[in-house]
Amino acid sequence: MEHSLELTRISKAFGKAGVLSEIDLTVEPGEFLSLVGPSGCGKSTLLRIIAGLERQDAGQVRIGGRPVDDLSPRARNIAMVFQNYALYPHMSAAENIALPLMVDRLSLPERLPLIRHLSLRRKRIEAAISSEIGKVAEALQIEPLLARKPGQLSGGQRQRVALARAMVRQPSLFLMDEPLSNLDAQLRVHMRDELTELHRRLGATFIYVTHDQIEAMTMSTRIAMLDGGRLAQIGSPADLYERPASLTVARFIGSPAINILPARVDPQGHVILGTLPTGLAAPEGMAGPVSLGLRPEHIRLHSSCDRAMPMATLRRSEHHGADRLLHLDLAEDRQTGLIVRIPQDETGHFQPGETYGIGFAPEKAHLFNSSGQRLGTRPLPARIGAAA
Amino acid sequence: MTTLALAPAIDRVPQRSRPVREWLAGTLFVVPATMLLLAIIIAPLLCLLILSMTDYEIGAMQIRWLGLGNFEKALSDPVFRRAMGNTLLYVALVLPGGVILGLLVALLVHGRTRSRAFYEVAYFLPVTATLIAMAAVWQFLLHPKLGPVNGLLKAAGFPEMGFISEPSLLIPTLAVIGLWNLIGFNMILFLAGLTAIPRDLYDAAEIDGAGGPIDRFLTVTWPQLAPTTMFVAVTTSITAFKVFDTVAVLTRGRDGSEVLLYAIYLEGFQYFKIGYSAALTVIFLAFMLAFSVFQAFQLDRRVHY
Repeated sequence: MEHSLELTRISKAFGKAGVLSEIDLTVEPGEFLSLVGPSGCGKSTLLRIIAGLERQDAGQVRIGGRPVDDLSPRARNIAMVFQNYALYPHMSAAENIALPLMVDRLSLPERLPLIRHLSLRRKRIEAAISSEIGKVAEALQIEPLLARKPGQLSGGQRQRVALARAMVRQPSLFLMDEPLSNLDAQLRVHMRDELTELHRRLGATFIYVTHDQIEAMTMSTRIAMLDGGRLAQIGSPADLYERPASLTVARFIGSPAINILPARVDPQGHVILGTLPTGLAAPEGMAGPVSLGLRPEHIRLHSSCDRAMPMATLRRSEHHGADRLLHLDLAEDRQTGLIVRIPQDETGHFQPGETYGIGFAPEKAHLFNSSGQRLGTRPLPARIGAAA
Repeated sequence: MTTLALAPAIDRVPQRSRPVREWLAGTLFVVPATMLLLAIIIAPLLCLLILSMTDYEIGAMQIRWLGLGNFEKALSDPVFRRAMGNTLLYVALVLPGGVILGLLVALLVHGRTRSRAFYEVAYFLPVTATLIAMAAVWQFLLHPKLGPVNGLLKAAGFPEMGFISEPSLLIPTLAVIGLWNLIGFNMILFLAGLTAIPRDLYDAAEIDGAGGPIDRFLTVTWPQLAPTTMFVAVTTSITAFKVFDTVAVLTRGRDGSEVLLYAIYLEGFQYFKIGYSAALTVIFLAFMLAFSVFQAFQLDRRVHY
């Protein structure tokens, strides 16, 4: 049942406010694609356009190679899971799950109160539907809950019922709009596992909207990051983490966030941090201010610093189980904070108030120009300030 | 062992006095509210009950205890029985009409975007208009010879209708005026209910294929409006039971068009039979109470908050 999804030059504006501009996106059959971005970046609107709940101003949506722009959500054969689950509160879990099939297979008079009892084939169809509900309920382990109303279910249980309602139609696309954000932290981690497992088992195409980069990183095969209504980057979780295309992507992906240090490129093309060369060179003909991005785990601290190194003062140390996070202030301007992640078992004495030298491997550094675009770097043979 | 036995004995003194202290404090807190309730609601009701068992008349020098005599008289009084029948007919017309039309208007107005404010005000105007003054307007509108309503009927080839002269048409005519007065209020209540329905539910219905108007109404709107509908039904029936001003102005109870409240008013303030009128009021209150309780229980079972 897996289908591909293609978006070509999708644009949307509400009134004068542009929400999406020229989004091009192709999702392969069976993929788990996350749409991430800060709130207001247009990711939910894009999902609603794919679902057919919202109409794009320009561009085309194709599901399984077929244009669906003029089709209703029902005709697109998609299923959607909402942030608030959107279960019908007056219906039991079983009735909620049955609704899409009821609408599909019974005519309007057969569904109306009172009149429906006149139909002869209704009983037979309802029996078939209830056996299908049984199968889906078994797969999601919600059989004991089927008779209950949504009001009598916990958040996690409602989530499962909403998933069952989505699954029962065997849709070509699963659309999920922040489905885990109303759950508590522990349950969220658990449901993350379950959704990944469900995706593996069904082999269906999932489009998953979230503002939580950890969800996107852990679950998806690919991530599309939106920023200000534009596609900022699309790629595997590793791509976005290791080669962020822009400062925005670099800042959004990764927790704790990447360290961004103001630097400049001298006329020879060397990247200079403060007054010290970093061992990095910028592309040809590039000079002026740049931003240097360093992931917390790529920074090394040196207590004995006889070499010329940028210096930082330790403010506090946080225990995170397997890791330790060190918060430092860069010595040159006290404004720039720095976060360093080190394994808990790493030896070394880290005292607040002490000053350390900062080192990093040049190939792990990210360089961005003044408009936030990624720059290629090349390490110089002479490494200054690099980890030994 | 001795220490174990001693411990409860030491504790016993404060433990015994604490519930008493709490009880005292609790009682003190409850006293003001209880006094108010007694003075404002319970005492007048008791007065009414006592009066209803006497033959008290305004200006009378003596008063006689009748027990249930007034109630027996009421039940065999043809005027009162007619008033009861008329009131029930009036409620039977106004209750479903008020709920259904109020909902219909609310659904139509809710769908408007820019003109919504205009329609809200337009439909709400009759609620703010004093019914006594407007009754005069209705009297003119429905006049057999001069009224535009009959003019239209005649123009369309129908016979002339004596809306406020033909006895069998009196209560239905009053019900229509009552509806006109009430729909705007019900519309506002339904509009509030409609606004509170989460948009997600409509989206889900659309995805599930229940996006057509009838499906959407039956799967989302109507069940979600159940609490509002219950409230509207209860307030509408109470308003309908209390119909008085249109009767007082338009028919004055002639041709057998008395309603409960008008009968009470006649007995108490025209014929000064306070005792008898108090008995009728007790019956009226008992009726309203029974009706509201029945409605609340009946609808409550089908309402999903």
